[in-house]
Amino acid sequence: MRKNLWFLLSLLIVASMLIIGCAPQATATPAAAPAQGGATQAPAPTATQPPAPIAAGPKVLKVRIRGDITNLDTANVTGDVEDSIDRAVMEGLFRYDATGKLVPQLVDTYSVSPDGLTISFTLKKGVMWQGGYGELTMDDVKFSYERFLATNPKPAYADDFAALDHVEIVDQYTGKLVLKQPQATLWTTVLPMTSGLIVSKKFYDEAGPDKIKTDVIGTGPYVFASWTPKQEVVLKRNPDYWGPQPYYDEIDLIPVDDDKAAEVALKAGELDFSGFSSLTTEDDFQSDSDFTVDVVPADQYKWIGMNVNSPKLQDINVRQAIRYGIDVPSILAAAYNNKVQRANALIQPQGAVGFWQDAPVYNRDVAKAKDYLAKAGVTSLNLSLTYENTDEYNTWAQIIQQNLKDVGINVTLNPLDSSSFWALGEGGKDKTLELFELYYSSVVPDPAWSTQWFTCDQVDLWNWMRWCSKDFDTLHQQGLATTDPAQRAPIYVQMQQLWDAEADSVFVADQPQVYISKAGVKAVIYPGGMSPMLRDFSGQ
Amino acid sequence: MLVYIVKRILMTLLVLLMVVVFLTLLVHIVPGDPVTMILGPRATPSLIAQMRSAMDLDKPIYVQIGHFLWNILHGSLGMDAVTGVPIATLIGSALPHTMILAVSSLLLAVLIGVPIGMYSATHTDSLPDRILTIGSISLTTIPSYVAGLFLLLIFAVELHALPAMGLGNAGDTLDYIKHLILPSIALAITWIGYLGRLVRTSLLEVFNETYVRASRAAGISERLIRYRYALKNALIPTVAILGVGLGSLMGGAVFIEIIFTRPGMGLLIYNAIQTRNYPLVRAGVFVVAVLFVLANLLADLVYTYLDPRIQLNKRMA
Repeated sequence: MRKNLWFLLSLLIVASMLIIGCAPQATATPAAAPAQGGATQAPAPTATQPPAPIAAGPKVLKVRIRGDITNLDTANVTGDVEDSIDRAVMEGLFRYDATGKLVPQLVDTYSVSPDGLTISFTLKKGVMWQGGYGELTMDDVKFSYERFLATNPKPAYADDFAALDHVEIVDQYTGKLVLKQPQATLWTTVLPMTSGLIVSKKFYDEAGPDKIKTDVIGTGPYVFASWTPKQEVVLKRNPDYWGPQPYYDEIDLIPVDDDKAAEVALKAGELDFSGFSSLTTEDDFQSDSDFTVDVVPADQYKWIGMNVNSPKLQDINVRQAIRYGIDVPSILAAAYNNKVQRANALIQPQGAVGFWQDAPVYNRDVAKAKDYLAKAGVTSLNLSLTYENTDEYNTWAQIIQQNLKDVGINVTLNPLDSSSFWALGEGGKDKTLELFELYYSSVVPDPAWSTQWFTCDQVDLWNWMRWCSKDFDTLHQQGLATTDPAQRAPIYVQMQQLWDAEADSVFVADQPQVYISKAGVKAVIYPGGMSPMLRDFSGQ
Repeated sequence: MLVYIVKRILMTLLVLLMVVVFLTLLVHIVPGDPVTMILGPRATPSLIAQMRSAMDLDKPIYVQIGHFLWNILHGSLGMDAVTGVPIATLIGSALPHTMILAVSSLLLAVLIGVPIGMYSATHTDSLPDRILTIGSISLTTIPSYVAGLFLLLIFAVELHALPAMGLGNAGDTLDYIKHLILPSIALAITWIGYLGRLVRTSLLEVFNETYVRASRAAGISERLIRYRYALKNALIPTVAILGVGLGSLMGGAVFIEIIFTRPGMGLLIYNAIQTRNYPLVRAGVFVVAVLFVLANLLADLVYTYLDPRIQLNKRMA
C-alpha cells in the first residue's frame, strides 16, 4: 500500500512537471525582438552625438514595476508602468533629457510661428523602426498625432491634442503641426511625454487594436523583447539604435505589487531599483550603504474635500468650521513622521508654475471653528468621512475624527478598498459623499494637469467637491492657451484664490516619491517625480 | 464505481454552474467599477462603452452566464478585455506554477509529517514524543504567510541563501527549484504539524486493533506489525485528508504567491479582483473550482483503491 501511495504522489509531481513543460507559452513574441537575424537594417547614424563606447560584459538592470502592463498604446496608456516602457522603446519629436531639460529628439530642426499656431520641423534622416518596419517618416508623425482626433472611440488622451487641427506633410522628412489655438501643455506634458511619442503607422495597421496594447515597437534605444504576463517584461538594447547606446544591455521589469515584497526583494539582491509611495521605506534603507535613496519632489497633492452640494455642507460657515477644526500638522506628524511638507494650495511643489507662495495657512482654532458653526446655526452635526483604506489614510481619519469631535462634529469613518473608492469617480457616485480624503498626481508639473479635474464638466467625474465656478473654468482655458510661463503663473494663482474662497478643501500634503537603487545604479526620474526614465539609467 | 463517477461528475457540473452564477452576480453586488479601474480617470465615454461591451457588462446577467458557458463548451475561457490576450493563455501561464507549489508542499508535508507521526506513535510518552507533539501543534498554529515572511527574512534577506521572489530563469530547472523551496516550506508548515498529529492518532488507534494484538501474540516482529500492517491502515484517513488538502493548499497558495511574488493563480485572481476584472476572476475561480472538485474525486477514488472494503456506491447512498 505504501508503494501505491508513493507511486501516486510521484505521479502527481511528474504530472505537474509535465504541465509546466506543456503549458502554453504566454511569453509574447513582440514584433521587434532583437538579434533575430537582422530584419532591421542598420541605418547610418545621423545623430549629432556619436555612439558612446559600450563597457564590456552584459549589464542587466532589474526594475520593479507596480503591476503588470495593461495598455501600451500611447493614446490610451493606463499608468506609469506603461509610460516608462513606452518612453524607453519609443521616441517623440521632443523629450526631457536626464537633467529635465526639454530637448529635440526626432526633430533635426524646428521653428514655431509668431502666433504659436504652427510648429514646423524636419525629422532626423535614417532613423529606422525596430522589427524591420522601415524608416521613420512624416506619415508616421501624422498618423501618431491625428489618431488622437478620432471620435469612435475617442482616445483616453484625446484632450492632449485638443488644440491640434491637423498635421501637414511637406515631404518625407518635413512637416507642420497646425494648431487651432495655442496650447501651453503641448510643450510640457504632451510632445515630450507619452502622448507625443511617434508610433509606426505600418506596425499599428498590421497589429490591430488588441496587439498594440501589449506589444510595441519604436525607434528608441530599447526593444520590447518579451512580455510574460505577471512575470516580467524584458527590454533589450536596440543594436541598431541611431543615437548613443544606453548603458544597460537589458532591463527586466518585474511586477511586484506590494511595497513590502519589493523591499525584501531589494535587500535580497533580486531588484536593482524600485519606487515606493511610502516614506517609511526611506528609513529602512537610508543607513544601508548598499543602497542609494532618492526622495524626489513630486506633484502628488493630498487634501480633505467637502461636497458643497451636500445639504449638511452647503453653508460656507460649516465648511469654515471644518477647515479651522482640523489640525494638519498633527496629520503630518502622525502619518508621515513630519517628513512631508505641508500643502496650502493645489499647485505643488514650490517653484512650479502657478505655485501660490502666499497661500493662507489655516491653523487649528477650535474657538473660531465653534463660532463658525454657531453662525451657521448648527448645534450638532454628523458627517461621514470616506477614504481609501490604507494605513496612511486611516491615520488621517482618526485625527480628523478626533479634531472635529472637539468642535462638535461627529464623524463616521467610511474606509473603502481601492477599487470601491475610485469607482466613486464615475456616473456621479460621489454625490452622496460628505467629507473625503483624496489624492491626485500630475505626470509632469504643469498646473493645467492639476486644475483640469476641478472644472464644471468634471462634476460627476473627478470633481468630488462638486464645486462649479464659471470663473475657474474660464481661467483654466486661459491658462491652457497662454504659453508664456510668466503670464500663466498669475492665472493659476487666481484660480487657487477662487478655490480657497469656497472653503471646500483642507490641503494636507504634497508627497515626494521615494526611489531606492542598489549601489552602483544611477537612476534618472522624469520631471514631476512620478516615473523613472529607464533609457537614461546608468552605472555610477 | 462507474455510476458513482457519473454521479460525481454531474454534481461537479452543478457545483461549477453555481460558481459561475455566483461570480457573475458578484459584479452587481461588490462595489467598484471594473471599467473605471481599468481605463483610468482619462477614459472617454466611447472608450468606456467599448470596454463595457467587451467585458459583457452591458448585457443581462443570464446573457453573461450564457456567453461564459458557451465559451467553455467551445474550449475557450474568453478574451481578457484589458490586455487583449486570451484568458486561457493567462491562466495557462499561471496555473502550473500554483499546482507545482501545492503538490510540492503536499509532498513535503507527507515526507516530514508522516515520519514524525510514526515516530511519536511508536515512542508514546517519551521525551522525543512530547517534543514532537509540542512541535506539531505549534506548526499547525503558524499561518503560512507568517512562516513565509520569517523564511524570507532569514534565508533570503539575511543569509542570501535562497531567492526571495519570482520563478527563476525560464528554462533553468535548478533555478526554478531554488525559487520553489521557501514558498513550499511556508505552505507546507501547517500541514506538517497536522499530518504528524493525524498519523500519530491513527496509528495509536490501529495499534489497539484486534489484528495487531493477534499479530503480536503470533510472534510476528514488532517492526513488521508497525510498518507493514498497522501503518497501511493508519494512512487511509490521511489519504482522504490529502485530497481535500490539495484544494486547500491551492487556496493557501494565494498568500504565498503574494509574499513571494510568484505569478501563479492566486496572484492572478487577486490582481484581477483588485482591478475588478470580473471575466478574468470568473474564469480563474472556475478553473480552481474544477481542480478542487477533481482533487476530491481523485482522493475518493484512491481511498477506495487503497481500501477495497469501502464501497463508494454505498457511501453515496
